[in-house]
Amino acid sequence: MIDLIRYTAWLSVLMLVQVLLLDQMALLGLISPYIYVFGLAILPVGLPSWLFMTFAFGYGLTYDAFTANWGYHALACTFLAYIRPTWVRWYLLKSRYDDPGSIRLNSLGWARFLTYTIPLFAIHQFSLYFFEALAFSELHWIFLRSLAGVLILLLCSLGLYTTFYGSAHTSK
Amino acid sequence: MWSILNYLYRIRLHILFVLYSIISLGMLVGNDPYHYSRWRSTMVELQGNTLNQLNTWRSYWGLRAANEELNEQLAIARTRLYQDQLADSAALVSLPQIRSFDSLFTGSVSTNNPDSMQSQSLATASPFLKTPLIPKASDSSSEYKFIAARVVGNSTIHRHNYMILNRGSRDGVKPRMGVAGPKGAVGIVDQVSEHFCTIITLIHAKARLSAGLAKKDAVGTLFWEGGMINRATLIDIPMHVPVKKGDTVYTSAYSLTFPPGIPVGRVRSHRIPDGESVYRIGVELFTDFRSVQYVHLIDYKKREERLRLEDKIATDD
Repeated sequence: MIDLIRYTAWLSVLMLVQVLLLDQMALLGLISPYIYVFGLAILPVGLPSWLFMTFAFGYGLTYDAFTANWGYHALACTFLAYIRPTWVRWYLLKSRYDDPGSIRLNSLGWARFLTYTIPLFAIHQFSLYFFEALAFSELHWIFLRSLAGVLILLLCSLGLYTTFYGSAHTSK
Repeated sequence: MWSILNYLYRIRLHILFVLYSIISLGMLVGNDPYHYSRWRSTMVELQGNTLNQLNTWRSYWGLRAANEELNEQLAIARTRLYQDQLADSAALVSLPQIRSFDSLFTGSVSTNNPDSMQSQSLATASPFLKTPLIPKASDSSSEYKFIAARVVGNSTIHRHNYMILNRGSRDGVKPRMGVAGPKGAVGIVDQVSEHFCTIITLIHAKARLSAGLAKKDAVGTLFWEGGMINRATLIDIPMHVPVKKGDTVYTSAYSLTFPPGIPVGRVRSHRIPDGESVYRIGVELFTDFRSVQYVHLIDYKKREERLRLEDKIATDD
C-alpha cells in the first residue's frame, strides 16, 4: 500500500514537472523531454502486465488531457506497456534481476540500466511521432525526431534520477 | 466454454493492447466537439492561472527583449507615417503594408488591465505622432478593435499546438477572433474562459487561414503540415499569378478573423504539382512561435453582420 502511494506520488510529480515546466522548454520548438515516460519505465517488474498496461494507458491519457492532443500519448504509452513485459523477461530476468521494487540504477549498474531504458524510450518516441505524422513518407524525419527525443529524454531522466530518486535509494 | 475463457484470460494482455490502441486511435482521429469544448474551457482557466504565476519571472527577464521589440515596432510605424506624410496619401494607404500597420496601431486598445505595457494606443503615447494615425476614409481599420494580451502558455511540439493568453471574456474576447503578434499572424481564438483564452496557432494541424500574395489578386489557403514550426504551405493560388521566392504572404480580405494585410510569412519555395493548375507554395512564417510573448487580439466588429449576410445567401440558394 505504501509502495502504491509512493509510486503514485512519484508519477504525479513527474507529470506536473512535465506539464508545467518541460513542455514550456521545447528544444528547437520540436522536442520536449517526455520525462513522465521514465516514471513508467522504472515501475516495479513484479507489477501484473495487464495492470501496468492499464496504468500506462491512463497515465498517457492524463498527459493528453493536459495538452488537448487526445490519444497520442495514450497510444504511445500503450505500446510501451505492451513491449515492456517481454523486454523485462528477455533482458532483465534472464540476467537474474530479482528486485521486486522499482527498477534501480544502483542495482542494475549504468550499462544494464541504459540497455533496459533506451529501447522502451525508443518505442514510445517512435510510436508517438509516427502517429502524430501518420505518414510513411516522413519516416526519416520521424526517426530523426525519435532519436533526438530518446537522447534528450535519457539525459533528463538520468539527471532527475541521480538528483532526487537515485540519492534516496542509495542512501538506504 | 471454460477453455475459451481460459484462452481469453491467457491472451488478456493482447486484448487489452488492442482495446486501448483502438480507444486511443479513436480519440486521436476525432473528438466530440461539445464535450471537448466544455472540458477545454475548464482546463484553460486552471492551466492559465498556474502558468500565469509561473510566467511572471519569465516576463521579468524578457523585459529587455520586449522593450526592444516595441521600440522596433514604433520605429516601423514612424517610418510609415513619415512616408505617409511625404507621399500621396491615397496611393500609399492602398498598400497592404500600410493598412496592416494602421490597423495595428490605430484600433481602440483595451485598457482594462493596467499591468500591460501595451495597453495604450501608440498613437497617443508617442510624442512623434503629432498627427495620430487616424483611419482614412478608404481605410477599414476602424472596423477592428485590438486588445493587447500576454502569452502565458505555449506549445510548439505537438500536432495540435495552442497558446494561452491572459485575456478572457471579461476583456471582451470571443471565440474566432484573430490574433497577431509583432511580426505577423499568430492564430485564432478557440476557447474562452473568464480570464483566459486559448489560441489555435498557425502551427496547429487543423488551422486554416485565408491568405494571399502582396499586390496580386489571388487568395489561397494557408495551413501547417507538421514538422518545422516556421514552415507552412499555401495552396490554391492559380498558376497564372507570377510567384517568386521572397514574396510576402498576407492575410486576405476574405478572412472573417483578420484584417487584410496582416503579414504571415515569406515565399521560400513554389511549384505546380503535376496535373494541377494551382501552386503549392512553401511559406516561411514570420512569427517565432517559441518566443512570442505579446500579441493583439483582433475583434472584427462587422463579423456578425457578414456572417448573417452569408447565411442569408446560403439560405436563399
